[in-house]
Amino acid sequence: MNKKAWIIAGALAALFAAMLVIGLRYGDAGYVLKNAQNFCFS
Amino acid sequence: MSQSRSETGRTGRRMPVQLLSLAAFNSYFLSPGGKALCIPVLNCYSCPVGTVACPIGSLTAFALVRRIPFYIIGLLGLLGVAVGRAFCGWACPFGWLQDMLYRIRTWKWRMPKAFNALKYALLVVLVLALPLIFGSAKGTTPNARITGEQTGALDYCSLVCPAGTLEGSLPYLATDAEGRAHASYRTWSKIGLMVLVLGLAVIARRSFCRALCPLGALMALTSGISLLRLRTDQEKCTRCMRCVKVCPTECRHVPVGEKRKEATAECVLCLDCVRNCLEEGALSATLAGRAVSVSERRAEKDE
Repeated sequence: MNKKAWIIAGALAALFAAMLVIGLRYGDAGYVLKNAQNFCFS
Repeated sequence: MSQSRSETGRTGRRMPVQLLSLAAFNSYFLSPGGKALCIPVLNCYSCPVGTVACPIGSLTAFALVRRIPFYIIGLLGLLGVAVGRAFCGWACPFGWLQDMLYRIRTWKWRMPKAFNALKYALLVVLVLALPLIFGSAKGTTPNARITGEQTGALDYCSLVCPAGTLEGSLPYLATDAEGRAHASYRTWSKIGLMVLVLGLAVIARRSFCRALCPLGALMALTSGISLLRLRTDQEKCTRCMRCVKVCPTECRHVPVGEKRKEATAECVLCLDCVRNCLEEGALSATLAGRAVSVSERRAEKDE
């Protein structure tokens, strides 16, 4: 991988990591779980 | 176009990994809280044994209440940057099912590449646009709590998803007599669509992944930036096109003449091309620049 590819991958990884943290703080995981339970027919 | 069975080629450790993944994603008893986790594989979360949440169903649920899915985008994005579409090639249970169906000896069809664009349209229309438009029309407000009834009625992907029909609707119909009695035309049309998709998978390799899977479309956006990637040594490559013949998504990894290789958004990083390449070092897979799999010199009869 060249330097440019590393920079792009690193920047995007940082962006996605930040989004993941924000999502976790705002209870997104709980919302995903609730929706999954809505669908589950058991 | 007819193809012989040998064109599926060597799959190496991929098949055992796919089977392990199938077991892991359908072992709810091992991880009861696992349905909070979105992993980019098509394995229906309405199945009681399903371990993880469907990213597509979850994205739709967020779109319905006009809530930005930071968690899902962050998680899928990180996995995409790390390994691109490798989950499609190595871990997706529905991908494994298609690989198995394609092994059935029959007439085969090489699906035109124009069909590949369909999945992007499905992602935009079914997963984002329709839930955003009709979610608000049905009275859901941003960040509102949504009921199962609302989600079921407005989750457009679930109305057509063959994996959902196979793992959710069919077991439900098989185990619930009342459910069978009240099955609507929608249920039967879903089953018909599933049969069509599975039938197509018998004659066209990974046809659903290539043409219809909105999750594949989403993960394809990360293909160009992922740390796991294929590398072709143009000096060692003999242009035998064996890698193209064995590729489940019929990608072209090698340049032909002066033409550059095609975009690799369709590549599911299964590495069947590397395993089946006859020239040492002509094809390799690298993770963050380090080789993780390199083609070895083999006689064709070794196959």
